[in-house]
Amino acid sequence: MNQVRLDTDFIDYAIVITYFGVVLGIGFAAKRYIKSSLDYFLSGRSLPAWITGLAFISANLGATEVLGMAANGAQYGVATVNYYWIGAIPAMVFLGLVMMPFYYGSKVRSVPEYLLQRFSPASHKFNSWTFALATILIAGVNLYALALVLKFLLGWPIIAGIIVAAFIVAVYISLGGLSSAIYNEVLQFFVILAALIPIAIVGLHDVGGWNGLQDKFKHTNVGAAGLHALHGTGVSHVSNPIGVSWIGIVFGLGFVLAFSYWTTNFAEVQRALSARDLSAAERTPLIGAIPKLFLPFIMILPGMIALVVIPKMGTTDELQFNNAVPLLMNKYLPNGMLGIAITGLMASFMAGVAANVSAFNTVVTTDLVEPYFRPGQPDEWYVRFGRIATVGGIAISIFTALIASSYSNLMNYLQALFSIFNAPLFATFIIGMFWKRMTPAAGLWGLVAGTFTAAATFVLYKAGVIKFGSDLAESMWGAGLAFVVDAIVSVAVTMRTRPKPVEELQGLVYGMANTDDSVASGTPKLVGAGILVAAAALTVVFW
Amino acid sequence: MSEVSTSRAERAANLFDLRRIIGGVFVVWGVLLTILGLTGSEAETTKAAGMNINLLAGLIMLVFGLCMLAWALLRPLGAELREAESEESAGSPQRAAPRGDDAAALSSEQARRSARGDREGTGRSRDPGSQ
Repeated sequence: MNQVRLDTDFIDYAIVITYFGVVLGIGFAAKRYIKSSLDYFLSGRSLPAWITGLAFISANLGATEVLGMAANGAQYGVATVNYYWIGAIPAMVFLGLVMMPFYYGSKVRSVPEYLLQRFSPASHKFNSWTFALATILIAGVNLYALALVLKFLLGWPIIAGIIVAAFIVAVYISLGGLSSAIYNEVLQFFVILAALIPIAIVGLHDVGGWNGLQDKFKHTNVGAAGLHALHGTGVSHVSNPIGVSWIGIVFGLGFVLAFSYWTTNFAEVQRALSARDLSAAERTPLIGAIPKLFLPFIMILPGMIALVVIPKMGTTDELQFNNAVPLLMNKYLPNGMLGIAITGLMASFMAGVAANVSAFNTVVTTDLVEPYFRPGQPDEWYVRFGRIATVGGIAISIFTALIASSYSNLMNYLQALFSIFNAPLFATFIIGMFWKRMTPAAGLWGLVAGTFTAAATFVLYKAGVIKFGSDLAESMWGAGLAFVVDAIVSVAVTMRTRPKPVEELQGLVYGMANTDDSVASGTPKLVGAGILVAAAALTVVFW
Repeated sequence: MSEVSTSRAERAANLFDLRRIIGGVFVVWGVLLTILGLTGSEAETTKAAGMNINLLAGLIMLVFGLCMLAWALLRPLGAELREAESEESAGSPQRAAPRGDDAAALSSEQARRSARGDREGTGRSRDPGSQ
């Protein structure tokens, strides 16, 4: 049987090259000619809300969203929308209305920094190690996604693709591809839309519209259950494709996984903080939430269409769920449009690897080596170390990409990672934010306990010792359990250790916040409320 | 305050540029796809479930790109500057970004961290799990 290959010609390659030319050109110019001024407002405090809002949502649209949500659509059907309307929107609104004023008042710019200020170096160190590990694992996911696209384009085996992709990313980073991250992300957002909307439109036309799709979907192995978001989620009678009850969806996904991602993820928070003032910072996640409401139609729909139109979808390695979007591209798109689609995919994957590797570099250099392992070195030493860390990070990502390659649906893997790395962090962070009494020791041990719980749940599930309805169900339960264990341990340890003096908590705890309004008021509140209503309405429509 | 007015000019210029860049890219792609769509074969249309997707997408991109460029040109430097000035003077203090001593301390800390990162052109975003 012939390998599936994208039928590209020079037009498609020309489109890809022009895009990267523009992106690298911006980075080049930023580095060489207008560094100081561009840096000024790229580093924050003066960007208007529409730019930060679009960059905000674009930072979220990496390989995992683009390939992973379609993969979910093919594997689980409409239930995937819960990752948007329950599993993202409320958290984004919370970030805008509650967290932004808090971040502004506390003056910390990241969660690790918060842990250092609020608790202790021990907590900070533990989190920095796990944070570094998480970035490298996720860089690997994006690297694997790039290798998949290369396989479709050129027929290369995955391992060769991973190595070549790693090399391409290294070149991209050193040519300044990240110097203007926010710029590129806004452009990238539109390119991804330009890539995915045509696929959704053509695919939908082919299956006979939404009604046609519904009819045909009933005959797939996911069946009619895959046409509903929340059917079959009663606690005693779990029959939805994800295999989880509404408790898992609302608490595990909607609260722990979603809130932990959106409120503590440094990239997202950073983009919101790059806005020109508190009001714009509050509106940034809200502006990002509006496209997020409608993204399911171009992210999940292609997956469902793929299950219907691609025979034996999901049954072989070549037809793995991750390949839903590339397979549709191969099936429908003519040259020209194909080039745009490839550009969209490659742009988001490259940015994903580069951003995660640079995060790895920053946390290893600034949060681990500089304060704890080799303090007091001159700046040049740290810069040189950072370069080594970048190269080292890319090299390690090659191996983590191999781990990712064992997953036929990248989303399953990523959500498991989130349950291990994000969920406990969020628990410690949110409790520390609201409870003055929480001690530095609790800040460490709660985190350790939560991380261990989620990791253990994952390992035991993989080993077949514990059973869950699906990989996604495991991640929701793992996250929920991690949160609960973290909370219990934090409380228990707090009762037996000493807290910091209250004055040291100024600006770091609710009730000692530094801004006058601790929650946003006025227009942002109205917008936030409107978005929540819209998400609820959409969930009801697809019930 | 010349520092403030320079930053306003720069911010406006930045905004301006981004719309131009996006507009430019989509106009070029739109024209390219439209031409491909008009000269495309019957086979291509059949493949795409009977839709001339190159033509359709091309036209939409072209319109989008032109709108972006129009926005960039209709609301040029001057309007942004004036608007920013009046917002600044009328704005409520507690909603603004940290200013004064705090801002100086914050920005120097950020500059130190970002300079380290930027020196090797890797940017400063630290984002596990963003993509």
